[in-house]
Amino acid sequence: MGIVKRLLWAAVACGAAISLGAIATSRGEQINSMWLVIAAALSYMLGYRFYAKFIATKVMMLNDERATPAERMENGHDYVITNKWIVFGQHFAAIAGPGPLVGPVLAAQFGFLPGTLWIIIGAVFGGAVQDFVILFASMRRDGKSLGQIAREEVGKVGGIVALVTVLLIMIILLAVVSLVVVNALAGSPWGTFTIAATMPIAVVMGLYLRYWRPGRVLEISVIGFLLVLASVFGGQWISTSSLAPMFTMSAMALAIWIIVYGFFASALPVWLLLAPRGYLSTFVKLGVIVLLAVGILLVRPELQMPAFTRFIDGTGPVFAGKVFPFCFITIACGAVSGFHSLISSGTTPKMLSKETHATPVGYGCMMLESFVAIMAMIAACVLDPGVYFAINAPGGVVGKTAETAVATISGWGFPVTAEQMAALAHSVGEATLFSRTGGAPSFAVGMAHIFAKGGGGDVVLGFWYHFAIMFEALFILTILDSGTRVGRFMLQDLLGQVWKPLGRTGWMPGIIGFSAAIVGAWGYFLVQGVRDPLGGVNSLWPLFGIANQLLAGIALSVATTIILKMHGAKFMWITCGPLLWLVVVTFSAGWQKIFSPIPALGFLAQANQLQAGLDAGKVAGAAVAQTQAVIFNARLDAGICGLFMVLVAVVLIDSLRIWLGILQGTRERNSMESPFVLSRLSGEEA
Amino acid sequence: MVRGVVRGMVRGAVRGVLRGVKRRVGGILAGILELLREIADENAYARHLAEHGAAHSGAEWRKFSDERFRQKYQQVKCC
Repeated sequence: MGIVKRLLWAAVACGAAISLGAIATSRGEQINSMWLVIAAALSYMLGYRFYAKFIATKVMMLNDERATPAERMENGHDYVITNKWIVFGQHFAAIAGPGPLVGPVLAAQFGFLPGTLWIIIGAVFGGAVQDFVILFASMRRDGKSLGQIAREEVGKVGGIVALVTVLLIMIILLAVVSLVVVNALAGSPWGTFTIAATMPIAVVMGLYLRYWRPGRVLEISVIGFLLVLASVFGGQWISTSSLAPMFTMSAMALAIWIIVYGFFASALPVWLLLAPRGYLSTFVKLGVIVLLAVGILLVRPELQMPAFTRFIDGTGPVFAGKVFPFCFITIACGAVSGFHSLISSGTTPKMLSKETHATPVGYGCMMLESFVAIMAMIAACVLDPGVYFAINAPGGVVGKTAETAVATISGWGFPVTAEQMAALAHSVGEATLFSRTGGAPSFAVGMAHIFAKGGGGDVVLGFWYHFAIMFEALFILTILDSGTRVGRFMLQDLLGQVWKPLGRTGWMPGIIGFSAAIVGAWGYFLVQGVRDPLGGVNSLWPLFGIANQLLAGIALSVATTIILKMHGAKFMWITCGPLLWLVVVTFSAGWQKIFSPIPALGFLAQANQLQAGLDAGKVAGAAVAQTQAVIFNARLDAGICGLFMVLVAVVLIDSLRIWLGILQGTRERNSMESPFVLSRLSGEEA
Repeated sequence: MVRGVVRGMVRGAVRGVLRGVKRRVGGILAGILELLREIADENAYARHLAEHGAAHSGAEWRKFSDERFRQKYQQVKCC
């Protein structure tokens, strides 16, 4: 490296240190959001230039002379030599979901600092490393899936456990993201109309693509986007018309609609609803992320949230639990996401034309995802803290009326008034913004504020709020349809091993039965979340976070096994470090969620408290059955949380057995890498 | 005369820079369009047609998209 480059990188390192120092030491004064943007961007640059390069050259020894699966096995379908930036875009579109938008918004209850630091540090040293190593491992193994790699490198147990864990996580994920949509749309005719309109729009797109103008995907996506925009404007008209009551639904009614929708969407032909909606949501998602980045850079808003709030002690209203370990499992996808390992061992490794492209795709995409999480954190923290808590705190904690809510929140030291909330709700076209839990509404308010400051002022606040809600709901519903479908395939895959006909994915009774089973499973947790007096997010999001981080634990165990087989103990710290951290974080969070004596935190304590109330005769009438259901659900959540921990412990112990064998020399380092084949593309630009 | 030469040089330099910027912006826009076409599966469809020596038709698109969607929606979508 030349002297100029050295000086430049030294300047980048100094810039990163200064900006991280600035956000870490700011107390009692507002700081500009650009400090977060600069700290994150410079840290990612350093991580990518030095850490990713070190892993690529010293650990993975990426070699462009070696033919990738895309070259060796090219078939024009899934194994296709593809330009690296196109693979980058495809991979990013696949990994970016609602997680990095919702998680940081919820974690903002601790203040902006803990979440921001974890998003940056966790991504650079954990999440990006996991994505990168698993992508590399799959690329060197003909594009095999995480489950297959686990089965070959660790053992049969690891493979089956990975499959079961993924299925369970998927069910919890689908429930919690549906809950986010339900909470965002409950009592909102404008939002409900907009989202309802996307369904016929998607069907029209599907018919257009199949029969009227086959293959014109970009053309119909532009038309679909214009129709969705029209529906956002139409929603405003609906909300003030006589049709408003038809679209004003309770949370329970919306939950039932979403469950029914999920069943039909997963059982209908893919081309009719799922595929056109998938195209539309991908384009809208990428567009909004770019728009939000531009908005933040132009407006450069001040953060209103302090660095730390009093809720680091675990008494937070958004979800219970101390900053350690709950900040880490709440952020989830913005820093480390186990789910990414499934994408990194899915279609992406089959499209890379050169081995060195794994660095920008595997490591670089996670940097971008992490940056999305930083933007979500900024969107939440530009809100007045009182407003943030009024939106995100459930009625069960702050009280059901505006007066009790503002009194409680102001009593915590975050002043807010009923008039302020009423004016805000009015300006975004909602009846109320109190207790709109789930993260989506506060993200939408924050995003609308940034866009409105960029031009148009309060006049456009309502449009941008509902545009943001539409954007979040659109791709959450896409995840719901496709997740239910994939869940059905997984269930059939598992049960097909017991009785072969159950594994036939085209068998109509199977389609109906297994779709109903998967929808029934996540629908059950969704209804449970809606009924939860603490808002549902309090129990479901941590459960999802724990499960997601445990899946990352499985991926990092597999990654460590592979590195150990390649180099012995020399480089195992690269994946073992984040693995150890995740094990400590997730197991302590899981333990607290099950056994904490605090009812708001521990599932069993909540069940016991409610049971004691029942036994003492404090609950009467219709509330008895509802309380019994809440008790049952709290015990069920405890059981599921425990099951996740046991499953991952099994994989960890299995991996540990292999590692010890290799380190003690009693087990051969037989890696399952595909043999070297000379590439014909090594000298070409791609 | 000197002024004319200088003006010509400046004009040439500015044109050169503008040409470079135009090429760059054009390259970026072309790259974005390529990415959009790839995400929209239009490029994959073009590859399919070339590979099978087939011409575009409704039936061919349906054949391609049925297989494409079957593969695509067996994959997990991330959170």
